[in-house]
Amino acid sequence: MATIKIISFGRLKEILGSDFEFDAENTNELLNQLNEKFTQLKDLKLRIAVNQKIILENTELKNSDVVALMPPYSGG
Amino acid sequence: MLNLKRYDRQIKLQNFGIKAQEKLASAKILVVGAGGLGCPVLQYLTAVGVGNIGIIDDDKVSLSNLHRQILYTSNDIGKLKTETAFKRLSAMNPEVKINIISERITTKNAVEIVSDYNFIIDCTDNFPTRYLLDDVCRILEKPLIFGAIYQYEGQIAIFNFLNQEGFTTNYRNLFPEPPKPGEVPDCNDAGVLGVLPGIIGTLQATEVIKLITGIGEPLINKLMTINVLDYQTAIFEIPKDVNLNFPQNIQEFEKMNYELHCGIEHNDIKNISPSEFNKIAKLPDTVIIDVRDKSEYPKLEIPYLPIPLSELKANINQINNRNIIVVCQSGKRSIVGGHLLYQLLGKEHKISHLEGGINHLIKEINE
Repeated sequence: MATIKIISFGRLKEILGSDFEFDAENTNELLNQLNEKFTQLKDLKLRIAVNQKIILENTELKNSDVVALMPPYSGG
Repeated sequence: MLNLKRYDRQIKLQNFGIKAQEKLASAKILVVGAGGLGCPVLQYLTAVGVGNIGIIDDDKVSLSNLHRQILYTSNDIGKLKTETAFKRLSAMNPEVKINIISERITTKNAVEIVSDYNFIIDCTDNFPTRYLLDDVCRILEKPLIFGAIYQYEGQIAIFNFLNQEGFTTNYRNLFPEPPKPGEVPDCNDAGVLGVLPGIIGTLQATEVIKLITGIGEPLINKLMTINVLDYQTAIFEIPKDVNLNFPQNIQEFEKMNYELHCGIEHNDIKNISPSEFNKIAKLPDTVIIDVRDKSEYPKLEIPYLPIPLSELKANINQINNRNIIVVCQSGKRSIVGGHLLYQLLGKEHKISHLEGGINHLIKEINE
């Protein structure tokens, strides 16, 4: 289990609140836990970056990793 | 011939000079959308001396645009953005050739229009057009400078440009599938700080200048995010994902329906215009459902049933008519409501929604 920092953007920030610490082993488990805790998050399109690299698949997490959750924006 | 006096302060820059200025003068840039992002992009590209600028937009100036779309004045309300922008930009710098296209970009006209330019700037305000533009730019291998905003935050990236490692990315590498309608509110629904598109648009203009002149480190295959409330900025690397399912060539692209792709159109839910709305609303066995919150104005002046979107499921028993018209402020929640009613009530009912919402209805009445 790793303690990581979560930062989120746009509407996700409204749902999750400002930056906080969380415990998870990998990104899939992290998402499952967040979905349970924040029901509004469910089914929202988002992209995950670990330490500023957008990931393509489930990724193991280490202590003090920074996980960013990004939604798309449409405004112009 | 370059006007050396006009561009003197830029030409003087270290690593810039006449060579870079000449590159700008021979560039052809298409700006898609002349709204919040488009205005600063157009102003700066015109001022710095880009040779050819194309502007495509079919929208007219409205009062609620003016707090952020700084090319337009109160006297321009109701006029085409392209024509107003053309006049103002030509006065700013008559040395720039500006071509305006007062249409919406579609699968029918996109290939021809985009082919005429070397760089494309995404200043659009909706997902169907963003995905359309991303697909056509990828197929035609045109560098795309992407910008998007939400309330106090912005995103910027460069797609379809080879990085040093020899690969390109596009918007679908960032967000492979469009979000569902209503999932991401736009400026009309969520609001936007007036200066935000000014900042993000100026960065898009900066990035295209860097690409053209070869200075600095442009955001190729990188997404930059900015929050103007706390100035938290971050740069994320976008990976290449080869297993994405999108149109592969022009033939496939031209067959796409981006409204359907983004869920804004539904085969079983009819999109109706304000004039159709006035006719259909009078048909027998018809109910109009306003899915806005009860505190939202203006109210409709004809009989309707107010059920906020979040309460629609619980109040489904109130709906007994065969024809159902769903309305909201801008036409986004109504399509979501329409989907929900279709799931709950099925094909027995004829479900339609007012495209562009009550905003569109009022605009038509005023014109």
